[in-house]
Amino acid sequence: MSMGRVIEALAWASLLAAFVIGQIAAQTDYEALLQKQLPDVKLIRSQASKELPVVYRMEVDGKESPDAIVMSEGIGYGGPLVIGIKARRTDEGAKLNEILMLSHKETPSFMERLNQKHFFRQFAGKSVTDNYIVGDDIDAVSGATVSSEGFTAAIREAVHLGAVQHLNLPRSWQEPGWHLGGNEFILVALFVLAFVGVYRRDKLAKYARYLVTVGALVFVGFYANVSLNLGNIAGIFMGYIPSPKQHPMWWIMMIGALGSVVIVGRNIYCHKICPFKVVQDLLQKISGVKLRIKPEIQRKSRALIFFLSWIALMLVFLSAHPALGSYEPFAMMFSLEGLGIQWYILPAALLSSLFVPSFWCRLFCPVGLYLNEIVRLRRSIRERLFGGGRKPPTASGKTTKTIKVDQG
Amino acid sequence: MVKRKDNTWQFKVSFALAILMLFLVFGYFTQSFLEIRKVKPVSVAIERLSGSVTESDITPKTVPVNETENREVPAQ
Repeated sequence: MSMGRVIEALAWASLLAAFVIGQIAAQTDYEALLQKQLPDVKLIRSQASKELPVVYRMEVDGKESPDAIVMSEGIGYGGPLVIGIKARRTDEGAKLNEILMLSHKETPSFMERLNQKHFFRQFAGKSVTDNYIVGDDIDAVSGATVSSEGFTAAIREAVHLGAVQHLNLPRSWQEPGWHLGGNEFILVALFVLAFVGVYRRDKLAKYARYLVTVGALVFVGFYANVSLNLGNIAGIFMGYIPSPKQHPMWWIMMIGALGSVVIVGRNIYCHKICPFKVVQDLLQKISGVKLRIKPEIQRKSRALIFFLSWIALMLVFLSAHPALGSYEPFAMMFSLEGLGIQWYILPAALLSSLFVPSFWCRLFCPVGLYLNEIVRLRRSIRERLFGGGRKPPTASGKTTKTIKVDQG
Repeated sequence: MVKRKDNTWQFKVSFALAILMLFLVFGYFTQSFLEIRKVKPVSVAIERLSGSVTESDITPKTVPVNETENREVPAQ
């Protein structure tokens, strides 16, 4: 067995071990966390449900409190989140009184954005019989829409369960339906236009490419901030997959990115949809400087990105927290919020891209590497099935050109 | 010859930028590692597997970083 194979086997084994350790360590006793946040209160758990969501009655100084606490789970952009809500009976009916954050795995920049925009304050004093639906009576924070949806879903589930189990109220609220709107339409349209730009060579394709470039930067980047990162990929392995009903944007992005590499063998996401690629291309156009990377370094970049990905995934799996390993500057670039050393990674990546074309994509981007690896795998499978010399046909019936692969 | 010299200069600058970025990425990993050390997942997992501690002894350590920042008290 070659040294490379041994290292590969060790890398996979260590990742598996980190995953198992992280999963065992992450089994959290949320009731203990809740009690820690409310040390002076005796919590009496309802026996109606063993799993989340769970209702608690409260006793303060031996007297039963009119408040109730409901603990519930939702799925955010980074993974599962658990919240507790405190509801209080008033003369005007039961109102939501307090939100207790027990656990979340959101990217710090997304949480910063939610807190700065006072996302949670809009729940203050809402009746427990309100709808709690984003776009209806709750406003999402742009740039953290998936996180907004996740928290709202957890709060909605908790509030309504409390209303039914603790207050015996009838179900008078509206249930959330499929959350398909303008944002989802725009994202689908961007993928469709990206395909048009790739497969056609006429004037329509030219306009499509312009539209996709602007859309990727403005919509995917600054507005929705849904660019793919290592955290998303790690989250899939950890089972942090949001429901399509709740987060259709996540599904459209995944189906668009993975579907294009698996079905048509083209990395549409990296070359057309990724907003950070657009930023790098713009910086290149501004500077006009195109420094070359030594071919040897370029060749070794594939191994470097795998190594960086391995460290990142080890951190993610050990912590069961996808955002902790995601070293890419994407989320910070489009929210302009970050923590610690992230403040240095982003300007360094932008500065480097000013002088070296697609600097980040070529030397550091794990998402690009993985998507290109799938393209390579697909190509080798096709060549085995259809013969090495034959090039697979494209959607337009012509033979494929060599797919540009940024890494090595 | 001139072209080769040009390339050498370009290679050196791009290599320096790559090394700088590499340092920063490792800095980020160190930052993440320090966060994870607070949670001590390996020792928690070993303790759980050996059954030497109770749930409530362990769980407060697993509070996420932003626990206090994210606690909201909207109604006054």
